[in-house]
Amino acid sequence: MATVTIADIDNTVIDPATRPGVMTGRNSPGSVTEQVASLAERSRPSTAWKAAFAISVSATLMFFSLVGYLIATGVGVWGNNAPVFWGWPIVNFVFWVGIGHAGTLISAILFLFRQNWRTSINRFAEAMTIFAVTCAGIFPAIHIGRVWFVYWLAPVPNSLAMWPNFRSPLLWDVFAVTAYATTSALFWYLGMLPDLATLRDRATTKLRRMAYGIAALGWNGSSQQWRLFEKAYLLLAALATPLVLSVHTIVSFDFATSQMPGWHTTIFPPYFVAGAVFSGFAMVITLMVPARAFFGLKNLVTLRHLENMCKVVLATGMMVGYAYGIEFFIAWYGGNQYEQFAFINRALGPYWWAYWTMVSCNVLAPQLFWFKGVRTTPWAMVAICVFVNVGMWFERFVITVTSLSRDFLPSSWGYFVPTPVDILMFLGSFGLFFTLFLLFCRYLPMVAMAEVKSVMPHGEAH
Amino acid sequence: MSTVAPPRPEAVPEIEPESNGLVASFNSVDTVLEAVRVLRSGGIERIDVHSPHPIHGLDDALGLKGSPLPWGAIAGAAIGLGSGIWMAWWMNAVDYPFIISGKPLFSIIPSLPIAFELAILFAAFAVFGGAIAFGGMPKLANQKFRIPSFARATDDRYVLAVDSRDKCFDLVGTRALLDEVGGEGVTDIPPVATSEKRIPRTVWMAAAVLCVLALVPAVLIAKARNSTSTKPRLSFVSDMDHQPKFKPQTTNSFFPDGRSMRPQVEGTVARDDLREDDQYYLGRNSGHGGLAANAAEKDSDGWVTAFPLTVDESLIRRGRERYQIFCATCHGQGGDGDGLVTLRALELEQGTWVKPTSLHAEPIRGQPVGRLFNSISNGVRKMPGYASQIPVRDRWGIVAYVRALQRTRAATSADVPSEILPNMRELN
Ligand code: HEC
Repeated sequence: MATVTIADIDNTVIDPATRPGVMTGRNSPGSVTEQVASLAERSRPSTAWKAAFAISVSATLMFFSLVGYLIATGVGVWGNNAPVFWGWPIVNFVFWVGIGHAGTLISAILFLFRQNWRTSINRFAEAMTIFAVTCAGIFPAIHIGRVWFVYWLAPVPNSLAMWPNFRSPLLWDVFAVTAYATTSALFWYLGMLPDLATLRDRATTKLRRMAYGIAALGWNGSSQQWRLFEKAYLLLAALATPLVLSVHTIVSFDFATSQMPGWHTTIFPPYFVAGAVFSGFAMVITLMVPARAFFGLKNLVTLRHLENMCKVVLATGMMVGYAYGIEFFIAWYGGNQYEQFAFINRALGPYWWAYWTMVSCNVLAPQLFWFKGVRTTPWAMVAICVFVNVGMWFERFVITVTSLSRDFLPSSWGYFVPTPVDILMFLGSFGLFFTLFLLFCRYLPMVAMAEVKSVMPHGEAH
Repeated sequence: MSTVAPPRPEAVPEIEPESNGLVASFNSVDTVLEAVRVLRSGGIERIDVHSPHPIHGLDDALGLKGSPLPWGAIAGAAIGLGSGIWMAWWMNAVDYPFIISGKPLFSIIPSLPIAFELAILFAAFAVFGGAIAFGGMPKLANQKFRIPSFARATDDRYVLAVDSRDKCFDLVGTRALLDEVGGEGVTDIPPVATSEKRIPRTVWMAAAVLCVLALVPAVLIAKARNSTSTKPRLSFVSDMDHQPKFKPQTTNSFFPDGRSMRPQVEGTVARDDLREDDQYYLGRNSGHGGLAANAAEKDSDGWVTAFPLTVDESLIRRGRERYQIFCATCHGQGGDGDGLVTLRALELEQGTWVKPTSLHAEPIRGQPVGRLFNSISNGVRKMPGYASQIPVRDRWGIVAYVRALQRTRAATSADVPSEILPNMRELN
């Protein structure tokens, strides 16, 4: 990089003569290590980090106290009641599991498509995936009522000589989410090994050397290890790609295989997957923009990264909007009066406010991303992405609650009202998410250093 | 950096460990690739390059090829797929058949989601495990980590290592060659010293003891699960064992009379409690006392002598079935008082068992049906009453059957319709 080209400063401008760089400014392997590793090496965290951590840890504590209260008292502390037995806990589950899709998508699918720009953001997005799936997994587990029997979900021999029902989509879901969480964690950890070794080799205290040393499993960057690493990474990406698509498909089966009007539709799998990617990317942007400013990573996570993600949000947002439209069309075209009622009831019934919040946040708000000015203004993206996440929560609420509250039998219709425990638990799950996230930012390499190094121009002496 | 290591004194072999090889740092991909080429053309084969990121073209330069990982992935996927389908079949169709809306117990399509997820999961485990294991991990201690400059192999340097076991390796010559190709900080890889600190025996012993102790709870649990105990089971979560509700025969301060059980509200009749027909419900004619009257009363006390319901074959058949369920244990199938319970009780000779009266005894044969009905309903002396187990109609059925049994002992072939007589034995 002898001369400074336009791409060095603003890589969102596409100059046909040169390929826009993945990073801006002058970077070298050494500078990348220094920049990323030093974030995890600060001896004391900043005040802002401490404040954020204090808040999220308190919220986490509240969350787990409420879980304890729930277990000790029973699921009656939630608003779930006839006819809406799937209240906020399932809404929250689907919400979080959806968010957990962007990470693996960025890591795996963009990797297979050789989208080099993913290297700066994949670690971050994968971490987000794992933390979101953690939050997601808690909700169905505590939703089962008698939590101490949660092992009945697994095919473990038990004293009842009874096995789980393999034809139940709820069991498929258990397997899908478990497989997804495990594979994502393996993928994340494998990708992190070289970077953990970097932290080990830079460690200045014995404790850090031991801790990162054990975590790095003795990685030494030999050509054999790299060869296996690259092969394994490629294979895991290839495995994770169908996995990520299957997981939300199976989550949608929880609904779609039932007879409930408004749930019993074949569009659910693609529609859910698009929604998951949509909300996941929105969440990555929401977290990435403040993090890159705060940790000074603007040269690695460039505006071009953010802009690309905005484009994904725009595209998936329109897919979701299309699904909303098609649902109405099929309800009319299918000629089933229950289905028709379910949809008219969604838009105009007692939950109209939820429906229109969903539509405005998910379909209208992302339209602003047509403007390049919006796509390259960090605060504007965050604002839109927060709307998207609100909208996606409402989407799950609309699907779950409107259908259940008014099904076939008008005599058993009802109106769902959440309890304070519902609301505080949902907020508390954000506390857990952010606690894990802040710990990640503090102790682990936030950007995949080795991968970034491998996509930068080589050959010059530093 | 071109100083050649001075020859070391031969006299003290312990402190003159052999070198394990040499390392040299390079600061760019191109220089290290070039160095690899030079060394390999010099016949040196055991070369490794430690780099902060994968280097393309290095595998060719080092002559590495092939990888077992894809095979691992295929094997993992096959195992996952197979075990998913197998579980769906064996657990839901064989070991614990799940009957759902008359659908087949096993079919492929609904087994696929789980089989698919497991295929991915197991393949991922195989790939991850393979990468770790074939990459020689976990191996926390490595002699190269003792070289200070090696730390930059995970940062911004490309470290070339030559193994001393290479047939073309020679400490001085290779060192010179590495200097020549531009390697910086050429250093020996220190060999593992024999005096290295080892984990003391006591620690191993303690670990072994701990491992054995850790098995104890598991063994105790396994034993408890496979043996019987007279103590009530420990329940950590009492589930619905204890419920805040009022049980029969308990006190309750809420009501003025202090009872949990509530008397019937005056002037009301509970469902199924309107039993106006004394003949049918009590087996006696009206005006001879209610349920309180007991069986000690005499035959003259207004017992019903004719069945207060139509007796037909189905009633008698029902009566026989009920008799065999409720009475035969004590009274025997034939009513002679030789049921299995009786036989066993007499065998034990405990002296407390009263032999059930033979239903063919003369006084019983002479009893009116109402009195038999009453004996079943309320019991007689040592015999308990069955009113709570056997509905009224079935009790009458039993009485009819007892009557039929009694009849058999006194019957002659003249009582049997002539067309049945020839093949009566085959009747049932
Ligand atoms: C638990 C064993 C047991 C069962 C079951 C049992 N009985 Fe009895 N039954 C007895 C005994 C013992 C006596 C004699 C009681 C005594 O003399 O103290 C008796 C007496 C009788 C008598 C004579 C009553 C009298 O007036 O002396 C009749 C009739 C009778 N049982 C009928 C039945 C019928 C019908 C059933 C089935 C519903 C039945 N029993 C079930 C143990 C049983």
